[in-house]
Amino acid sequence: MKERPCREVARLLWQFIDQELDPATTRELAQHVRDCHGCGPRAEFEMRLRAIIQEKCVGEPAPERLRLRVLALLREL
Amino acid sequence: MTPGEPAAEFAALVEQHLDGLYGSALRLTRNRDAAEDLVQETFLKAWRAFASFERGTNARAWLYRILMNTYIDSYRKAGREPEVVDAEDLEDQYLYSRAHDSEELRRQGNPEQIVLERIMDADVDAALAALPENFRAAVILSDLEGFSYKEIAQILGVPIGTVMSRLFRGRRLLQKALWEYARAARYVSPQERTGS
Repeated sequence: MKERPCREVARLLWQFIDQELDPATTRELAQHVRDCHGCGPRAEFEMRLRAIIQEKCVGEPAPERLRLRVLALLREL
Repeated sequence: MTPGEPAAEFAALVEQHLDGLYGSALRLTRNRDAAEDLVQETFLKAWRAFASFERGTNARAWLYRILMNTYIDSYRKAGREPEVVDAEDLEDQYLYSRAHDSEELRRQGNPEQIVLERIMDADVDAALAALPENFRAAVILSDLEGFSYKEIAQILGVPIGTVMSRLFRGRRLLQKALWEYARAARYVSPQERTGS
């Protein structure tokens, strides 16, 4: 199989990280990322960045009054 | 209410998804009162449509779809934002590339590590809130809510290609904002960070 150039891997990286590629391409990219000194750190960076974004954006729970409002509304219907 | 009855079933859905829907509503509307109203209206519409909801399918995606439709119909400002497709800046992994190529950061140590550490202190919430609406919705649904491209396409009622274009562009814009933050931030050493 012809090896995919790094530029192409970078273009598919988000789809790879999002687990949206077909199984064959996923296996190919997983191997490339594992072996490539350029693409490996790039993929790791994206995954760590996403984890930080998730951690920093946990959001706030719904206020109790909203929960009560919604449940009361449903009882009325 | 008896378990197994629609009302009880629906009340369980409310308990299960209220926090998640409210969190996303708040990120969309950027206003607590509007977010509460949006969530209330979402559940109201969902309840009215509950009889036709196919049990066993993805209730969470179904609720998010109602939330997004309600938001688009009632809460977004009049007039759709045009789909911005910018020919420049189509580079993926913007932040990594900037960090990697920064001579200044390299002098201070591992550039990627430094950037990620600085972002730990950044107001990521505000950077996300500042994204144009279409891009923001795609980033919220993918990166925060973990929906697949296909689910997002169904929730937003757009083709998968549009989901990808909005998501990738949104991520790039977010990374750009975070890069501006990281570049401006003073380097804080690990010793200082622990507050000793």
